Amino acid sequence: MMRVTQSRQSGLALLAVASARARLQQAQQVAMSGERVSKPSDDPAAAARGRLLGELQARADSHLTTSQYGRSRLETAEQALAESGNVLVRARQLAIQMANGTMSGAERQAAAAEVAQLQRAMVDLVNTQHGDEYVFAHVDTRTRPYDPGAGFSYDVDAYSAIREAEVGPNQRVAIGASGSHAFAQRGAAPGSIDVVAVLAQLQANLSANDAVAIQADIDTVTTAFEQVLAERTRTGVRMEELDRANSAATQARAVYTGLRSDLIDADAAEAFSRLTLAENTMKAAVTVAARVLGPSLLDT
Amino acid sequence: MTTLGGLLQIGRSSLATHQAAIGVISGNTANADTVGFARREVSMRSLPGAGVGIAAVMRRSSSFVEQRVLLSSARFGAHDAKAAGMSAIEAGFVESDSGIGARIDAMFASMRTLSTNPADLQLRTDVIARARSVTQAFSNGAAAIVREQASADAAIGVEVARVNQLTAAIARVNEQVVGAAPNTLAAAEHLDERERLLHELAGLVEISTIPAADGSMTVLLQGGAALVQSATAATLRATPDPALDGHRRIDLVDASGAALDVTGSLRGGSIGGRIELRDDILAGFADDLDALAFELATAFNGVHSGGFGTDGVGGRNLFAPPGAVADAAANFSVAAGMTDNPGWLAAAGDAATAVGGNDTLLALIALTDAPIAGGGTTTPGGAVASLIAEIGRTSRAENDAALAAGTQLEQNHALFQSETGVSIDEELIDLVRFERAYQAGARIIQTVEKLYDAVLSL
Repeated sequence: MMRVTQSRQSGLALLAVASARARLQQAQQVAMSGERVSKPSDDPAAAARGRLLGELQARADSHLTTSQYGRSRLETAEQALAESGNVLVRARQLAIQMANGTMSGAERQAAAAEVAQLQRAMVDLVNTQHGDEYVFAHVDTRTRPYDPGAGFSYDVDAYSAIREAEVGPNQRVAIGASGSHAFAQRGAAPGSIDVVAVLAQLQANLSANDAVAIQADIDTVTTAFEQVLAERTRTGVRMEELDRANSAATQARAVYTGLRSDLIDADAAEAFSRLTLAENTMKAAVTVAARVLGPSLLDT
Repeated sequence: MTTLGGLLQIGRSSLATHQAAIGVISGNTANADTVGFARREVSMRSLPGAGVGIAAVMRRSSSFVEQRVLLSSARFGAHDAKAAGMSAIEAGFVESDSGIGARIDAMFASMRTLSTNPADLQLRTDVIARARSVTQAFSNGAAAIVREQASADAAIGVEVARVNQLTAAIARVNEQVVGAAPNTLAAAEHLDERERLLHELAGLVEISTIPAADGSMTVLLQGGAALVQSATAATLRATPDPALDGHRRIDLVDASGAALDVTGSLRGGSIGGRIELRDDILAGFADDLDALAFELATAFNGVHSGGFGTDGVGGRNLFAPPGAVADAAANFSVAAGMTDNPGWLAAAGDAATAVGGNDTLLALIALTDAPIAGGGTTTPGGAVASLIAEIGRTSRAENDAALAAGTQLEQNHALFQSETGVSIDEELIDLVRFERAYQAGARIIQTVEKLYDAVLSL
């Protein structure tokens, strides 16, 4: 028969109480922090998966930010293109009116003055800014892409690509509109036309009171309008693409947040039931320890 | 026939013997809670015609269980030291906004934001700050590992000194045991003292013991080298060694002064645990961190140097190029001049679009999903997750092992206690038994006195 000594009994009682206290402390930590995995050793596999989900969550957050900024930039470009279309519509109306042989020279001079104003407005629209950037500049976004005296500040044939941004996993979307495609005459695109030059030509023909030339300008203004409209349509498509990406990033974020929470966070009901169990175990350990250490021949 | 004088002698021997026995019981009872005290048991012998006498005071012991206690002490010491070190390291790799993984995420996020407006100076500054934050996370991680290695190394120094005190004391006690008469209270006191010393020593280094015929104990170090032999103790010497990054090498120096490097063979006890923690576990994590820092810096620089800053200049690095994998994490930093010149950040893919282009930035962002880490097998995020998992697994394994070793040690202590400890119940029963015997002895003397009176009254 195994001998049981008093110091052995007290050692066991101490061990039982210490073990119960350790479990209580762990249960308290989970209940207080709300996290089932607060350090890698709590669940190494879950901690690693939680890190990867954290990365995906952060990436979705980042994609939301880029898509929101991209949409803002696209809206600026789209508004400028819409306004450019309005300018060209007004120019075409004036051209149609002034091509009529009944118009007097004075009326054409007045129309010329209005077209000159439209031309200046068009230059401003080509030089539209989003924040401190020129939205239609392809090369140096801090330099005005169009100068009334010198024309485009960059080679419109060489540069027409639009800035892209990553708005989803392996998904990039152009977050702007092409000034080259919308406003410039490009060698690579036969039939394209310099929109500002079209207005300048109309203004010159109005000033010269040349009804025949004004008649011809109606077609060129129409071509310019269609050129701007085409880029505006493409911009609209990009905005839709961006909206879809934004929606996907929002959903992805919610999914990753939920998955990570399932993995890392403690279930409140489970945490508190474990805490209650640990508290009861602690009380039981202390009570039993007191009883175990009690009986002895000394009591007789 | 026994004379009346002889009867008196028998009564006297009974009183003396049982008084001595009660003295032993008192000693047992008083030392019931004394650590290392083993129960003494009185062995009596009959003295022909002269009553009774003390044959021996036996000290309870169990060399088999004691060996198990020593071994489990060494195991617990090793795992407990490793678990404590891993807990400290683990704290630096807890998933939070300041963790390495979260900082890499933030760097990529800042690059995505910059890609929407690459000429923006504030956004450029933010990317560089985030990149610097990543390098700081790596150097902080490396520094934490170095700190823990240094802490383990310092503890090894202190514990080696304690080992030398203990071995010297054991050698001294060996000498006292040999000099004391066997099976006496004095010998038992020395054996208790030696047992206490051995138990403490086993927590520091793994040892085995071989009892000698003369009562002395030979203590062997893990690997078989003698730490204590009879009255001679070898010493452990801890010397900083450049081959161990300046950490302490442990030599066993015998009485002749010959030294034997035992650093690699010590794996038990807290010293062995700390050596393994310092030289294997933490060094392994430091290597992993260095490799990841090297791979990140190299991959980012490879892409970045192909791009152009806003000044139209290309060929610059984002991070200071690491010379070697070793210490790459500690030396991880943003390239010189980058912090003061955010325009140097290469966002554009060609010089003509230096202001406003973002092709290089998009290529840098694409590194998120590129297998540039783990020797070209995983992404940066995957490598960080693997590192966290490995640290977590190691920490948990050591904690579990320490818990198991602690339980085993406790069980062996229980077994040892059951073999050698003092039971108050047993002592009280013996006390009553010896008290009765003492009273019986006194009654013999009273009876002899009456017999004398009877004789004298004739």
